[in-house]
Amino acid sequence: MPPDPKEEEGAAGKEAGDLVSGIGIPGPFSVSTRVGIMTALLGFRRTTFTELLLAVKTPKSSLNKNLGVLEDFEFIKQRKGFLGVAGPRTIIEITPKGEEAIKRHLELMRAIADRYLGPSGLAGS
Amino acid sequence: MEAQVLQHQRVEAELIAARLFRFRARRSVGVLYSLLSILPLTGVILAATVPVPFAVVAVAGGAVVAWYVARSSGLSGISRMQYSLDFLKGEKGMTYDSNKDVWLARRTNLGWFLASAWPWFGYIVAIMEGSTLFAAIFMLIFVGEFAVMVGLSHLPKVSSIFEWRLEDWAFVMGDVGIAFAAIIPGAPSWTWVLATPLFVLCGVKSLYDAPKELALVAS
Repeated sequence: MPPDPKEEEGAAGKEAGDLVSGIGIPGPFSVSTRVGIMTALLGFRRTTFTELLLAVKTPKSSLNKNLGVLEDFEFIKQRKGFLGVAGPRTIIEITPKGEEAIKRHLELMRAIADRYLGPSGLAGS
Repeated sequence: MEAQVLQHQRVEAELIAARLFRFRARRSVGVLYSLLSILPLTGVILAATVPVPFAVVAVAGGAVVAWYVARSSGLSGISRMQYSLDFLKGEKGMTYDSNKDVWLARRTNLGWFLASAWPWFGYIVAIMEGSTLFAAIFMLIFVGEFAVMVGLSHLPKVSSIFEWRLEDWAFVMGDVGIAFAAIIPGAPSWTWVLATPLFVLCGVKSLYDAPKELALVAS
């Protein structure tokens, strides 16, 4: 039997409500840096620690901590690897679980922005 | 209030992603230009030493290798990266669907590749057949197609990851200029060698500028 559209909409609405009311509560996406890292990884699957460090503009320790949180949730995998002649690098890869999680989070963020701020809330960025 | 916090989070996430996406795109273009710089010189040497068809196949093979290396350094993900950014900006309704959108991206990439590559094959064949008129016509077709491509890429909703810069214009215009110069009667056989230093300069400039994209700030 296909799911009831009203029921589905209600579930998504509850999830969006939970996201709004959960702001400030520690979670994988409670820090924008982590959302940014995951969004970037959604775009190109893997990157290096050095690249991320230059892009997120936070101290090394802070980036390590944020990556640790994402790894604890099994959203990313970190490994040592060689990249051409550049020598050993820490390579960070998104996992299928992380991909689903960030997609869901971005869609909820988008739904909330549409609901509370209207389409103009997105256009300004 | 909470929605404002989320909005701020979204903008910051978009900025981090945009820095990395733009860095990757510029770096991969730099890699492409640098690798392609070897081909004109190699082509001229091969054309003087082996039968022309072998030289053409070797240069075409080299171009394909350069394309694949550039893809692995970031060129291949441009559609997916652009899609993610467009979604954050509200220009796409859904996040990237790797089952559905990958085919759309592949079709688009293949379409762009064929549109930009086929006049060059026509040009090479025309030169091999000794017809400078047809070679010039193929180059004019390429210029026309290129103008359409640039027009499309300047549409408001297309590509904020890759922007045309001086080195990109120099690469394309230099190509076309040398292609025309090479078919002028009496032009020396080494005319295409002039492309090598030009491509090196374009590649080095792109690779030098790529890390600057990581310093992108909100406008």
